[in-house]
Amino acid sequence: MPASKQLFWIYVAAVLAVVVILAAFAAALFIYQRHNLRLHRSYAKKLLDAHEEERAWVAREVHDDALQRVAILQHELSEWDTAEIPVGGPGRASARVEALRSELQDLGEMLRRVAHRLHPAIIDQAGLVPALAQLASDVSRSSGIDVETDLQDDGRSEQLSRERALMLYRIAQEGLRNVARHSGAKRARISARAQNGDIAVSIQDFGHGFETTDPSRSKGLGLISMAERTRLAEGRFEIWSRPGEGTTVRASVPIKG
Amino acid sequence: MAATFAQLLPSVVVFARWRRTTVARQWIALWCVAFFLSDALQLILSMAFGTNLWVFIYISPVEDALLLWALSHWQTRPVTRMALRIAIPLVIASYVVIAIVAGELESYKTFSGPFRALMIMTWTAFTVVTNIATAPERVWARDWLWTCLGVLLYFGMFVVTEPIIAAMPRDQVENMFRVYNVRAIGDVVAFILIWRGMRCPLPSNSSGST
Repeated sequence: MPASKQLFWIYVAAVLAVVVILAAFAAALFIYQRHNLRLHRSYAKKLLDAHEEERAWVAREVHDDALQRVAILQHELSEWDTAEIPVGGPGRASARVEALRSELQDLGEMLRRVAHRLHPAIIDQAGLVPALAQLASDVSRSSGIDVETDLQDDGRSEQLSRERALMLYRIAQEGLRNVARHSGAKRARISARAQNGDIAVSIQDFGHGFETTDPSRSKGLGLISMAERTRLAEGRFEIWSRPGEGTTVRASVPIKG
Repeated sequence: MAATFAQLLPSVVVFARWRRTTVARQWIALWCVAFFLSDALQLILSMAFGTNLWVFIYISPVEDALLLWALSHWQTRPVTRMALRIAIPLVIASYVVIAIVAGELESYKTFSGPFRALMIMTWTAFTVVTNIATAPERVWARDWLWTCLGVLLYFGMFVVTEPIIAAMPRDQVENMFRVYNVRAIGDVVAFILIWRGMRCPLPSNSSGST
């Protein structure tokens, strides 16, 4: 083959290489964009479902618990009102007052739990670190998992905006909820540290772990919502896990900005 | 001969810890084995029959597919991972087109060589650049760095030496051997770099970050 013709075909081969690379990128972008669209639709649906679930939970708590207690209190008070002489004498009256007080206390506790779940006021009043300590203690009490705390933020988390502090709190809350639901761990650790202008919150468990994949491939909303919250706060979200070696979830967000 | 056996170095490291290594390293090890088998077969055939070019036709698409698949595991973004995987059938189809257009074995190698070098070097350089750009810490202990450097050196030597050999008159056998020797040294260094990459500590199992 003459040299000029050979050179032409070498040139064609090089062009073919460039075409293959560009075609692969174009196809990948097209597929990825469609995949992203599907993913966003599925996020939106999951988000709406989660909203509905939250509302259903509040309605259930109010209907099944608060309203029942209110009905009991009403009944007790109307009985009290209609009886001219307390049945059973003063001793019995004092027992009924005690029962009413206990009922009101339970009602107050239940309403506080609902309010706290809807919005943790402790973040506004005391800041992120006390809120995380409180969360660890609540989870320990409700799930029986020993949640250790390692909260060394050097007071820097106070500089976090309320939104970012709330996001980190929600991530920790979701992380601990995952630990309680899926990890099978008896022990977990929550830590907060200030590093290079960031606040990093980690939730580590010593449970059975899993094979990590992209959070977007997760079937539930937990990992996705943690990743999305971190992204909204311009932060970085990471998961380390291996079967049999536990899981660590870490979210770090810039203190300023 | 040393260059051929050097191709087995990375595989030896990976095969010894097959279950405790990463998927990317496993594919790199298989790629190195394919390279070794291809070279060994070509050596045996050239000694026995004098012609060995047809091996190149069948094995180079397989080698490229293995390497692209391995590189796809080191991509930092899902879209580039997907692009590399989509590129595999396109590359194989391109080889078929080149084989049909070239018609004869000698021409096939002349045309597929630049195609292959450009393709592999582009993807490898892309992988190393994007990984360095997103690496949160020092990169010297990362397998992808050493492997990509090795691959770039290997195909770099190919790109540099192949036109020199092609331009040489057929009677300058001694000079041709000199060029081949330089290339062989480069190939040995390339596979030592890849071997170094396979000996890097394993990264922590992370889902990545957002």
